[in-house]
Amino acid sequence: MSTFDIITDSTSDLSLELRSKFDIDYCKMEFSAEDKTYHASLDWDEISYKTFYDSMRQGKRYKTVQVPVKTFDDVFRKHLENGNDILYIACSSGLSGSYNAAKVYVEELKSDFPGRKIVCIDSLISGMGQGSMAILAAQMKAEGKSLDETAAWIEENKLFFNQYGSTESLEYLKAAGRVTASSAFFGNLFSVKPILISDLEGHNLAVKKVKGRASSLNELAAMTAKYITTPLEQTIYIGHADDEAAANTVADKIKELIPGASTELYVIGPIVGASVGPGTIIVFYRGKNKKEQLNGN
Amino acid sequence: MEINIIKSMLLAGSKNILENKKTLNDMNVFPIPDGDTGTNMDKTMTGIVKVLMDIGDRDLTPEDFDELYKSALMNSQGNSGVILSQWLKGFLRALRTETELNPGNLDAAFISGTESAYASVADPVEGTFLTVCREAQEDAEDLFDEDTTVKDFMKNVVEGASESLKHTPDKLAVLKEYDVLDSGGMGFLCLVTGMLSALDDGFVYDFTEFESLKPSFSSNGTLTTSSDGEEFGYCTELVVKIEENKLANFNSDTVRIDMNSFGNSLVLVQDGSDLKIHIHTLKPEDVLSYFHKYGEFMKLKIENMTLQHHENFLTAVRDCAIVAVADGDGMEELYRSLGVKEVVKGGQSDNVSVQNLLNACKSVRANHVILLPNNKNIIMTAEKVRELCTDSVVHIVPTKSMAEGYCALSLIDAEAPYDEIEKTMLESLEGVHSGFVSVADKSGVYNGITVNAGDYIGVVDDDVIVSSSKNKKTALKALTAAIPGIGDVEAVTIFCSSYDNISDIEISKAEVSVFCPNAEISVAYGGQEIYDMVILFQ
Repeated sequence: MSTFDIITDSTSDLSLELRSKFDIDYCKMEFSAEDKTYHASLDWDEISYKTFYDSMRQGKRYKTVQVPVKTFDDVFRKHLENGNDILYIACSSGLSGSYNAAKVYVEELKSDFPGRKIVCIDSLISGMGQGSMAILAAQMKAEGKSLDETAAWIEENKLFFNQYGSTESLEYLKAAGRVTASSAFFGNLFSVKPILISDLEGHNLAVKKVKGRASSLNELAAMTAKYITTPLEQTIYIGHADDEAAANTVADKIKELIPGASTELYVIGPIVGASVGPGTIIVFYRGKNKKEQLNGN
Repeated sequence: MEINIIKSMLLAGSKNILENKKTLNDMNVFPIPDGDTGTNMDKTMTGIVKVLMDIGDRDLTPEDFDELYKSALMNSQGNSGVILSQWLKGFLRALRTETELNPGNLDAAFISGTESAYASVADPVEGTFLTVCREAQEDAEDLFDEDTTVKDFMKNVVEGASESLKHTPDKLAVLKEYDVLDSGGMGFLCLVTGMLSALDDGFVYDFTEFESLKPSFSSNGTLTTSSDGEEFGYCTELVVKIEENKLANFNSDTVRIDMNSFGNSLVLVQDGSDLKIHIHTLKPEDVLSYFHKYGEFMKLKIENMTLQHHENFLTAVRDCAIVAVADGDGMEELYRSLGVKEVVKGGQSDNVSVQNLLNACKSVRANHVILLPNNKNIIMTAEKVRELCTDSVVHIVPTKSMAEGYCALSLIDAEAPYDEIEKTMLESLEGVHSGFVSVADKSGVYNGITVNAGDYIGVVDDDVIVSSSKNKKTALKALTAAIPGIGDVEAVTIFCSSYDNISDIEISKAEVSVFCPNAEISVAYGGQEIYDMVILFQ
């Protein structure tokens, strides 16, 4: 019986260390500015994260591109040719076309690999929400669970993976069109920070606005503490778009609210980063169902 | 004496306030030295005059008294205007069913006026209009005996008011600092002095001073008013520059008569060779050709009112809408971008009337209206609007400045339920301060600080002057330093006026950041006219 490999994409923000540890591969998206196109490497092969975020601070804007079918073809074929089935955990279909592209492409691929299994899952989230879904899948695989069992579990539980994020400026999300809120919510605002969660369709939903950076960081910690379940049995991931100090502040506050909590900081990758902008902080955790969080329960 | 004498007394009172408008404006230092008391009180009396014009020569009925008060209230603006309207309410209600005016019921009417005026203020301050209207009546009542005539009584009221006014600086420290008498109290003196003059034999009951308020007559000779909203046709407005050789032959009275056959709701104002016309007509083309023979159009505006009517009619009723008072094109745009449905232009020295604000609240067609007055002086007007607005439940979020209004709007989701919006707004105002830099228009000592007219003053939270200087920077610095807890301020937003330039603003940012190094400082274009800078500290 063939085993299966776990594959994600550039928005999973999994570091090289985590990818190696859990044997997770990923399909690269792309991003471009002024005719130059980069592969969205999570190891920042072609551009350092400092250079990337600094260039955004200086006004450079990047366009992002979903996983090209050619990339799926390269990566998926490689794994299939090695004799393994595939569990692809994709960036939220509410944010990227990658999931749908993969579904279409996989139908074509099946004829070349009859009898093999390729399961695509719409994670309905991005960042380390998507990343930790892949990690959990890897752990289940290690425990001997089958592809179907693992996929079924992820499908059933994906709404328990959530985020609380806050951006420095609303400009990037607006420009990227990757946020759901009325135009009045976003009016012309100064020093006001939005609080973003992921909704049932996997969109970034602005649920609240708070005054000032410090208040927004407090809010992230407080909301995480409010909605997290089994806080001591998971790693809380805190992503930052080149603002480690702020991420540390959030980590400290979370630990204050949840003694014994384990937190891990990471740099937000180029695709998520291009959409949210420098200074963004996002906390990922497993907690109450998204439905309950949306209703404020 | 017949009760109809009240018509003359009110008209004469109105005239006297109009004549003294400028003086009253210049005296105004309390509660805010913004020089609008005369304008505000005149607006209220304008409401009285409009109804008097409608009544014309016929005898007063009890309903006329109601109309007089209602119109005074609807036209009132600013604190002083609203308080005056409330004095009139008490005064008029007391006389409503009387057939003759005698010293006894006149005294009772003054008492009723005083009570009503006091009742309109949540926290009555002595040394103001309130004191003067009360003491004037008390003095007149002390001198009251069986020989007292209406004229004697009014004379005593005038003397009492005059005496009381002299002592207002003893009761209100700010008047002493500026070395002025209370402007509202002075307004009351003007009112009663006018009323007394109506009792003179030589008094002429005419509306010459109020020419522009005259209602028009439709072609069949019946009086038309524009209050019922059931008008159709075209609202036509034009400004014509009358050619020099035609100016001598131009007779506004003739034109007025001619216009009766064109439509209704006519307003015609002539200022030298400039002629401004407003008329509701079914045939705007006839109006245009009529006026074109006098000269060129400087301005033209024609709107189909039937269409407007239908559009309004078709707009579904919203659950909640936000209405705000603001000054400046930038400010208006900011407010609208944050979900405000209607912005009523106004502010410090240009208080909005109850009527304007009420119209705005009605126009948004919502079950709940959230109203941002954005000025201490307008909060009271807003409260009247809340009482009068029958179409919607009006919720007032008592913002004292445009900066506070912006702050309240910045955290809401304008599509949320009204109670949630109101709650978020009130919460967001906690611990927030605002300030402004403006040019002082009169000298005096305020809050221990000597202010010279023309100085830049730094003002904290709408009414505390903390600095007066020839230098804008100094005023800004002092104002920033005076903000409570400035060191912990996280965010500062500077709203600049239409005449600020970029380098000024950059300097301002640097000045402010010295006091709150950790704050994020943003600059926005407010475009306001009266303040150089409006600043929000969060």
